Amino acid sequence: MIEVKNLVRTFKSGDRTITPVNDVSFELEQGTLASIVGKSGSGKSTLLSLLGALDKPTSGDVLVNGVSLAGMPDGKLTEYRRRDIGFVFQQFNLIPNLSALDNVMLPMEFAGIRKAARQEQARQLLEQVQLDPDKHVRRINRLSGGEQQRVAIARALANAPKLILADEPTGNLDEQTGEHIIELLSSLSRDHNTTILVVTHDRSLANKTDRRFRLQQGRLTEEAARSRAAAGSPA
Amino acid sequence: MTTSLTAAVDAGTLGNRNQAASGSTGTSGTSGSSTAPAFSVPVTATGIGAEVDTTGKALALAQGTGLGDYRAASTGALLGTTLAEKNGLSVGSTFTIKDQSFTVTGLFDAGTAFGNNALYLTLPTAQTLADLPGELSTMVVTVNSMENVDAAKTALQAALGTDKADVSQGQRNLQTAVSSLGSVKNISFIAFVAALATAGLIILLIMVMLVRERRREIGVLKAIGAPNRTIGLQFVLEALVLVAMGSVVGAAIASFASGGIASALISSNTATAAATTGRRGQGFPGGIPGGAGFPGGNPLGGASQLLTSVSASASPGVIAGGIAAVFGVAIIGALVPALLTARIRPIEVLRGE
Repeated sequence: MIEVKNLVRTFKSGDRTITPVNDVSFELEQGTLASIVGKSGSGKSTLLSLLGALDKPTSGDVLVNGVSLAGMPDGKLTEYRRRDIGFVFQQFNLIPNLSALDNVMLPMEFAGIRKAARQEQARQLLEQVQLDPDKHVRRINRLSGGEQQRVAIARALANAPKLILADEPTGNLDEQTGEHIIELLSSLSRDHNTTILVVTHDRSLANKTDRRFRLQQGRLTEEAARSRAAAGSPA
Repeated sequence: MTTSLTAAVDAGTLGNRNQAASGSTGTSGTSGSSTAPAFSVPVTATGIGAEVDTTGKALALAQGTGLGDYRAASTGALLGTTLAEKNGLSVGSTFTIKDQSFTVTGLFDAGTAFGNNALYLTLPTAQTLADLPGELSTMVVTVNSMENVDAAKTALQAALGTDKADVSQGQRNLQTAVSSLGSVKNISFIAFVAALATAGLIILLIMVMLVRERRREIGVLKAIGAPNRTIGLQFVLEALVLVAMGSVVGAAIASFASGGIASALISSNTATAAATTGRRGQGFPGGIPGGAGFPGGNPLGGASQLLTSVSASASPGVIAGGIAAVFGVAIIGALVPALLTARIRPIEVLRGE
C-alpha cells in the first residue's frame, strides 16, 4: 500500500517560488492501476519522482507499506528504488549498447541475483511482455519503439517491485502500440498484484485505469473511479 | 721494415712541415712503410690471434675471407680497403714484406681512413717478421661484466707477473661508460615518471569525458537502483582495462624499439668521449715493435666501444614496479571521475529528457 501525506515540492526560480506539487495526499491499494492526468508542466513528473525517491519532498511524506521515505538516507533510498520501484520512461531510457536481455538483467544484477537465475527470470519477463524470443539478445537500438517499451516494462518488473511508475509510457508510440502497452500494464498489475501509477496526458489511456487523478497547479483531485471491467470497455 | 705497399694516407701539409722541421723519414712504426718522397703515415701491420682488431672488436670483412687459423703461420693477409685500393690490390693479389710474399685473403673496413691504412697477419707470422717469436705487445681481454673488471685485472696481473706486463683497464672510459649509463638511467627514469604523469592525466581526462558523455546512462542506472560504488567501480574497471590494453601495446612497441632507443641515448651520451679517444688514437698509428701496432683507436676502447654491447632490458622487479605504478595511476586517474558519478542525481538527468 502506498500512502502519500501532504506532499509538497517547491523550487526556486529567481525570485519566484514554484510549487509543482502542493499538499498532495492519496492512498493506493496494492494491485491498483491508477493514472494521473494533467497538462504539461502541471507537476505530474515531479510527483512521480517524489514517489520513486528520485527527488526529495520539501515537506510531507510517502509511506510504502508503512515505511516512511522522509529522512531515509540516500543508500536506503537507492535500495528502495532497486527493490520496491520499477520505472517506465517515455524515452524508454534503456542502455543502448546492451541487449534486451542484459537490460532486463541489470536491476537483478544490482540486487545481487546470480547470473543463471537472473538470465532465466529476464527471459520469462521478456516473454510476458511478448517480445519475440529472437529479439531477446538483440541490441536495444535494433528494436522498434514498441519493442523497446516492452523491454523497459520487463526491466521495471525485474525485481518484482511493489510499485511501477510509468511516465508517459505511450508518449513515443503510435496509437495501436500504445493500446497494447496499456493492456500489458493492466494485465501485469492484475497478474503480479503490482501497483501501477501511470502519468499521462492521454485521456483515453487514463480512462482504462482503475483510479484516475487530475493534477492541476500542483493540486491533486480524484476523478470518478471506474471498475476494471468498465475500464476494459470502450470509453 | 720494407714492403711493396704504399701508404694510403697522406699526412698533408702539416706532415710535410713537421718532416721539414724534424727531418723525419716517415718510416718509424711497427712495420715497414714505403719510402715516399713526401711524408706519409706508415702502413701498420699487426699480428692478431683472432679475427678481431686491436681493440678486440670483430673485423668487418668487406671482401674475401679471414685468415683461417690465426695461431698458425700463414702467408695470408687482411688489408684495409683504402690501403688495398691505393696499391691496386684485391682478394688474391700478392705483395711483399721483408721480401716475403703475402696473398690478400680479405679486405676489411675499419670505418676510418687511418684504420683502413693497415693490414693484419696471423700472430706467429707477425712475430717471425719482427724477430720476436712468442712475444706479445698487447693483449686485449674482454671481461663479461663491469663488476668483474677489477677481479679480472688482479688475476691477469698475478698470472702474467708484474715485471713482465702491465695490466691496465680503461678506467676513465669505464667511468665514462658507467656515467653515461647513469645518465641514460636518469633520463629513462624521468621519462618514465613523465609518461606516468601524462598517462594519469590522459586517463583522468578520458574518464571525465566518459562520465560526461554517459551522464544519462548513469542517471538511469541510479534510477533503477544501482549503488554509487557499483557505478564508480565500473568506471575504475574501464580505466584499468584501458590501461591494460595500452600497456600491452606499449610493451610490444617497447620490446621492438627499446634497443634502438637505448643505443640512441647511449651514443648521444658517449659521443664526446668517443670522439676524444678516437682522435687521439688516430694521431698515433702503431709505434710498438712486434707486429702489434694500433692502426687507430685506443686499445682499451672508448666509452662508446665499451657500451656497444649494452642492451635494454627490465628486471622482473622493475616490470612489477612499473605495472603497479601504471595501475596505481589508472586508479587515481579514474577515482575523480568515479567520485563525480556519485554526485550525479538521476532526477536532474531524467528531467532533461
